[in-house]
Amino acid sequence: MSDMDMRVIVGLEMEGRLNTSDDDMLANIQSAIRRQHPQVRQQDPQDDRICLVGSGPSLKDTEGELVQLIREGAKLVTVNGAYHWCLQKNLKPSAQIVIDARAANARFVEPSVPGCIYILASQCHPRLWDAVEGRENVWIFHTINADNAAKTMLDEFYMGHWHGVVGGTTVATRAMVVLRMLGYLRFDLFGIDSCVMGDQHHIVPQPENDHDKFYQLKVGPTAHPELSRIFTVTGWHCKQLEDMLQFMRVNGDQILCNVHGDGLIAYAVNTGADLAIDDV
Amino acid sequence: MNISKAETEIYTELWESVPAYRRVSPGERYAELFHSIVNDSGATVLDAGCGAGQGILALSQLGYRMAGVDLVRTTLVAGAPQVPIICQSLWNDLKPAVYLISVEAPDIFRPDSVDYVYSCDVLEHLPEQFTMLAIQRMLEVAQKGVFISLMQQQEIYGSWVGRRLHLTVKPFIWWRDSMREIAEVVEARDVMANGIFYLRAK
Repeated sequence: MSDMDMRVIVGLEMEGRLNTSDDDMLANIQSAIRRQHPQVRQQDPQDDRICLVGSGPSLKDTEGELVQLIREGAKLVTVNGAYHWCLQKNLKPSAQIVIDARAANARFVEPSVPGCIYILASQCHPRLWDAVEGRENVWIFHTINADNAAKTMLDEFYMGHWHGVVGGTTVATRAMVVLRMLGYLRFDLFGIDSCVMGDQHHIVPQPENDHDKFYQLKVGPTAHPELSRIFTVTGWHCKQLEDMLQFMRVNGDQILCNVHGDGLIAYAVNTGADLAIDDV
Repeated sequence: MNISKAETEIYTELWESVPAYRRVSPGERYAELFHSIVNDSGATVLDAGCGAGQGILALSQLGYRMAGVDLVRTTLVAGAPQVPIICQSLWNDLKPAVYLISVEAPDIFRPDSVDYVYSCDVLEHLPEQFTMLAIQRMLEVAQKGVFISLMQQQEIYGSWVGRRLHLTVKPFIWWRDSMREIAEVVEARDVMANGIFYLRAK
């Protein structure tokens, strides 16, 4: 598929960049793969419905829907700070997924929850791997593709037997790819908004993003400009929106996905938005 | 039913009647990896579950001094060196086997131990109740370490003898955590279909 074919919203030209240096990333991977954890691998299709919970601000409006789905038997999978929000609400995650390589993210795997599966990217910082040492279920996956500098290292260590989990720049989109690899096909997304709501970029404190620059983004479907809406976003919100819509374009016929809340991603999915006008 | 006897019959039939089974050689595949981990050319190595000797051949070419033990004695592959090979099940005490090897090659082997035990795609063939016992037996005779590879899924050759050959198909975590109970797990690599472990006695 060409770059033009993959463009999901006209007017958005985004390029993702890592928040950690290549050297740090390689050092993290070098350390992580020697910690004796099993690799995430392709599994048979699973019937379970997955509630994938990020820490976007719409969570406060959708808590009831989330609780209802969990009561009906859906599995709760959290990413980053959503883990803490769910624990505060007495909701027990079945799995927690983290990909960020910075040391401060070790807080996202504390406290230990019995029975929870920790699915961590090999690029995660050693402090995070230290935190999960000795826990029953810890799995490793690799957020890299064939032309990544870590490929040689992984090829050598795993004798060529590893799978790259590609797709997107944020944990939300990578989490969907990991869960798809694990066989899950039915997703309900909560707190994955890709926008600021009120003055909140996350529902839990995330000081790493307190100094992000905000933009006003007008988004809507070309055929129905009257449906356009203006969202307050950061750069990574825009990239995540593009990543998520690309993921759905590529994988949409393999999964069922409901996006809950009133965030940008929910709006874009529900209206088929395809046009963005930056900086209104 | 004597379990050792029944297993011996199955593998005797397999080695004799299924030529393709002889061509499967994880012992050969993992020789370079073993060497990269221990880097100890000249050391003595007991290939536990040596089969047709491809692992013995590969490690000999890397400078290791080899002996073998297996449930069934079969013809070695062309080029494999003539080294001491003892027939017995791996869950029985390996010290008598090591002693017999030293009698056969006293200039090379000590009577009570070898430097390493090397066991590739063998443990999963054992009844589950004997897997950790077999590893314990290997640790007892390995002065420096035990290298293990094993398959974490079922195989295809059992259909020729009317029974699945992998009697212990377990996930990586099960093997890793079981081994940690009885050994120091120095290396553990999940390479998807296979698990690779390097152990030392605690």
